Amino acid sequence: MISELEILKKRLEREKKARIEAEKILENKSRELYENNLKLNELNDNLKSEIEKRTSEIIDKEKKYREFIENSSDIIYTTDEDGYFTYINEAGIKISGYEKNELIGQKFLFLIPQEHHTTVEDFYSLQLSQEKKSSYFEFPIQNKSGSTLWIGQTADFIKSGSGSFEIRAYGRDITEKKQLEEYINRSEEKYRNIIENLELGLLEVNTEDEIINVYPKFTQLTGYSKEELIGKKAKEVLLPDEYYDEMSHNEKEREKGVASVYETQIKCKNNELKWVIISGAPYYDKSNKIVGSLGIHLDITDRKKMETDLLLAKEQAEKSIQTQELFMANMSHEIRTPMNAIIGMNDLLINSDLSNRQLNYAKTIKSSAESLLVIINDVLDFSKIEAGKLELDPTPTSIKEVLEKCINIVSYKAEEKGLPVSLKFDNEIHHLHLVDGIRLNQIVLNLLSNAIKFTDKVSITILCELISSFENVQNIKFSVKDTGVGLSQESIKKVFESFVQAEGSTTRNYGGTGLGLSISKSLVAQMNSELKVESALNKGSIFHFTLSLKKTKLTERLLLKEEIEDVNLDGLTVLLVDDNKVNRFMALTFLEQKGCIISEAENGKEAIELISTNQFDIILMDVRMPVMDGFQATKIIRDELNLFTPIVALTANALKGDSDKCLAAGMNDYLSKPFTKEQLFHKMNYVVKNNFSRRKNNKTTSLLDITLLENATMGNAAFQSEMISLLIEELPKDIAKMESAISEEDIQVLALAAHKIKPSINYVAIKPLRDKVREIESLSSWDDHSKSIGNQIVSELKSLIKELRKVK
Amino acid sequence: MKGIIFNEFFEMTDQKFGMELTEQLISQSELSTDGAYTAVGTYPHQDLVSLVVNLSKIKNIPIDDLQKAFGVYLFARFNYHYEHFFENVTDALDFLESIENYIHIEVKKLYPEAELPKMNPNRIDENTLELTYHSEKAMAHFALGLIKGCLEHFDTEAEVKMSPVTYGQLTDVVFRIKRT
Ligand code: HEM
Repeated sequence: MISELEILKKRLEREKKARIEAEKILENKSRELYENNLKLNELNDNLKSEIEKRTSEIIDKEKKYREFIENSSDIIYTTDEDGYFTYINEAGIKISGYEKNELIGQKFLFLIPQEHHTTVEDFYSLQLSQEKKSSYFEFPIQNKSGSTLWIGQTADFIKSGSGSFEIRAYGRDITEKKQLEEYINRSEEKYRNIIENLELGLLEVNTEDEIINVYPKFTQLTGYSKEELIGKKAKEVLLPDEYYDEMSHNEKEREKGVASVYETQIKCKNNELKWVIISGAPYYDKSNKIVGSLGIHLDITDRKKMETDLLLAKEQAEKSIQTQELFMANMSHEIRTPMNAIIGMNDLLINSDLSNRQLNYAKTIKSSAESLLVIINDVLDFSKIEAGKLELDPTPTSIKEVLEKCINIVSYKAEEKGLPVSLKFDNEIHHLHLVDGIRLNQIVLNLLSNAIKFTDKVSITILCELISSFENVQNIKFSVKDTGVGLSQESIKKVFESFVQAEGSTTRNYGGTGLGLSISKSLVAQMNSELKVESALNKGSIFHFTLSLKKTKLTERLLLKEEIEDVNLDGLTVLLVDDNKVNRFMALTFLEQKGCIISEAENGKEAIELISTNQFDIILMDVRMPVMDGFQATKIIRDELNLFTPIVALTANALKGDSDKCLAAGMNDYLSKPFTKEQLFHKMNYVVKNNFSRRKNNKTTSLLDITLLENATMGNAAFQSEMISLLIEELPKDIAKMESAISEEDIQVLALAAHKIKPSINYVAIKPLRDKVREIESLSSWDDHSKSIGNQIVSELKSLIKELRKVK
Repeated sequence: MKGIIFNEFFEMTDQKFGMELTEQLISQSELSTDGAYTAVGTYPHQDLVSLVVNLSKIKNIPIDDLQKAFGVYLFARFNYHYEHFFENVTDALDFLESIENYIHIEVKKLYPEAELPKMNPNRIDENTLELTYHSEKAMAHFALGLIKGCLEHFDTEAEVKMSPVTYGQLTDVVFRIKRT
């Protein structure tokens, strides 16, 4: 048992211990508290300086901002909700010209001219009602000194905590920009006015093709009012359907920014179509974006109508010329065919056993027929000249011979009248010139017949003088001088007119068509000279002209008179194709005299049948025949039977272009009816001797095909000939290479050479040759086949070069 | 464990079993301080465990019952020491609900070393409250005593149901307090 005292002692002890413990804790706590206090003070101090630092920084920043705002070249200001200035920076003050205290407390509208108040107010009340935070607007202000400036202003509406607004505005002086804009607008307007005054209708469309502006002239042009057009699609209202495609093309161009001018028709309000020239150009906004196009319309309806009228008139005129020509050709055919028979049969008659009287009659028939033929030829020539269809065919010609022939022809008539016709020929004149001998003959013959007609006694002289001589050219004066009745001054004026003769009665007295001089004059004109006349009544006349003629050398085509008679046709097999029995009989008689062996056919079809089974040296072929005509028959002979027997067309058509047609059909030559037997013999001889071999060569072995070259050079002849020269120069080298490759049996070298020439060969060679080259190129081993192709190519290329030389 | 808890424990044994027993208990227990505790100090939890275990042996009273009795006793003492926590509070369940989120938080401010349990409240309805006890210490019956003391203090008739919820090595205890 523990005594109460002991318990208390123990408890006291524990209390003491606990108290010391508690004091220690307290001591620690107060030290902790003290230290914490120290720390707190320190933190406090730090906080203070930090706050001071921050505060001064903020003040600094604000100062900077303020300075920035103050010194900004832009106008910066704030207003309250009702637009009263609460702040305005230096720039604003300067621009306005007012003092700061004059502005603060004023409404900002105070600076804006009265007449703009509503627009500005409306703009900003709209911004307020739409609660748009920011906006941009341009308006003018009036400064204190009274001048107007334009301001471009961004205004921000800023809601403050209390729910009211502050307006912060940043403005800039845009007066210069505004003036420029106005200047542009004004000059634009000015040009529009000018264009409008030029009777040009202006139309503006946007990129959607919607009409956005119409100018008065355009409304006059179309009959639509401005209101009727605005907002409509231009194409839908104004363009006839058939022009849609073209217009779309033009619109695409416009989108690319390209202006264009084109003709089109437009639909007017009353459905009338009008022709206009539209000059369309894109137009741009400030940022250079295309926003539409402006079309300038010029009414060309009247001009168009004139154009079409003219075209129609021209067509009609051309048509009438064609009909006329056709008529002439038909007529000539109708007359010449029987004339041919008359003259031919008459020739046969003259050569037969006749009494003197009969011979006399026959000769009269002959001369009448011949003069009739002259008249027909005159008429035909005249119509050709009138139609501009007469063409000269200059060939190497002996002028002296032509003139002598003329005298020969007229000598019979001249002798009848007892008129000597003499020739004075300058021997300095070269023996051959390039001139259309037939036409020269015609001119001189006309002048001679004319002189003979009007001369009764004394003489007629042909003068041929050398005026000047150059290396290649000689100027030669031809004169026909007579001692006849001569011409009055008045008659001289009219002497070359068609159908006019010295006196109205001449035709009756002297005969003829009255076209001779007119034709001669035209022919001389075509030879680049002028037929002139010098004459006085009873003093005779001199008709003269001077030709500038090229000297030339003799060629195969010139055949002298003696040679014609020398023609040997003995044993020649001839196929005679003509539907006219008389004609056939006549030709038959001529040819039999020459010893020809003749077969006859009545038309093209019969001819082909005969040709298929027999061989002929020459075919004489009429052109116009029933069943099958000469052109068709020739085509079949050449293209289907693949025969190159020479064919001479016997044509009664004097129509120009017939000769071309004959040659195009594959005939070798042609002879115009009526012809003399000498002409026929000569033609046959010529064709058999020359043309046969040449044409045959051309037809069978031509390796040349320059279609591709022509296409590639687009018809540029100079370039083509350049190419061809190059080939002529280069190809032989390649050929040599190929030859040596073949002899060395080196397929690779051969293939390489083929590869090299392939591109150029493609331009000029026919397909089979091109294919061969391609084949060689692809070969890889040497054998008999490659050898044979190689040799073929080499020989063909050689011929090709020859042909190239020829076309060059 | 705060010194105040030990001092109140001895106060209780003095009152309930006499000073002599308190001395015997102190001399028989292994204590870090030989029984001298100051209210503001902090001492090992093991000291309290040792005291409770020895008292249970001496007096042959189950530990749980001792814990509970100490809780009931201590609540009245808390009322005395920490008067301000009781201001404006009239309802026992409201008070209990506020332990976790108010009282123990304020306690922690006063004694940063205090090792306080979790007392998660779940107010089912006006008259029903669930508190979930979660701690490193096995003092659930101490908590039950505190709850009983609280109900007594507010003169509240209520049924307290205690159910352990085991997870892992720890056991939480859910107190369901239902006013009757
Ligand atoms: C005015 C009211 C209260 C005060 C001032 C208070 C204060 C304290 C203090 C100081 C401790 C000691 C902690 C230490 O020293 O480490 C403690 C522990 C404890 N308190 Fe409270 N308390 C109050 C009410 C309650 C109530 C009503 C309950 C029960 C629901 C409760 C449950 C607990 C428990 C169970 C412990 C022991 C420690 C543990 O188990 O981890 N307290 N309390």
